[in-house]
Amino acid sequence: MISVGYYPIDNKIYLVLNKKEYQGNTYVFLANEMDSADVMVRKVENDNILKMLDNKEELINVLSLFIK
Amino acid sequence: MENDYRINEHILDINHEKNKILAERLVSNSVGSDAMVVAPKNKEIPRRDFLKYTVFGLGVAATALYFNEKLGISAKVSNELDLHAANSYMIDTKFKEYFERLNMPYETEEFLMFKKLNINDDNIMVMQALLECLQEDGFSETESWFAISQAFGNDGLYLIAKIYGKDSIDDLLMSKGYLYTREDGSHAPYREYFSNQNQVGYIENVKILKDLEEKKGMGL
Repeated sequence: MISVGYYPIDNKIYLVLNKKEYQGNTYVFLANEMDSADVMVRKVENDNILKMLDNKEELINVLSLFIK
Repeated sequence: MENDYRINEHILDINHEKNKILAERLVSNSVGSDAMVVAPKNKEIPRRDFLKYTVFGLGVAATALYFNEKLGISAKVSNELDLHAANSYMIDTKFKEYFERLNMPYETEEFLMFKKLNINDDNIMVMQALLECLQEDGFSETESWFAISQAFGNDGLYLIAKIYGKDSIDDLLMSKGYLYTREDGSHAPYREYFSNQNQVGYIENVKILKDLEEKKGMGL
């Protein structure tokens, strides 16, 4: 067993698979515990504010960090 | 029934319409204006499950990068990724992250083989997890082996042979139906049945395999 961070969103548990810093911001890659294909990226502020990304370019740049 | 194969198919055939849908879902889930206050928590989960989420989840990310142009995204970094990169991500990049801590005995036949294949204990662990995941998702053992052989080639079968402690890899592959004997007595991989394997996906190949097995009266 390993300890994994998660965020409860819309009554679902989204596990933190990875965390990256990009241009001064923190991003987390999240996966729905009940559906591993249900994944999302969020920008984290103050450890407890999850924000969607502003645009697709920002997402692509962050995704490239996650898979490197 | 087809949906049962969705995740597995994602690993094995990244260039597929369903995977594009997964990538589009990732984009729509991630881009927007919503924000929420939610405190992070921690929980204990099996290491195998975490690997499963990671491989599948980041595989969707790789797919999103591959399909970026079709998704209306233009970023220089995405142009560096092509289909080969997206496919090899599953096999190389992510696994190597786990495999770096090589700790195998050296100067043995096993070590030389594993060194050649860039395999170590963690690699085995990931492969075991993948095999278990496939079986949990409804694949039979034979189907899982076939899936892994399709994804990892014969090198993956060597790895599986190591996991199961078989002395003879050829015997193992024969017993599992992944090798057959040509008329001249030489061995050929089962994949030779699938002359179109580069054009069709995993599901189609499994169906072909099942048909072949049923005709032989072997069943899966």
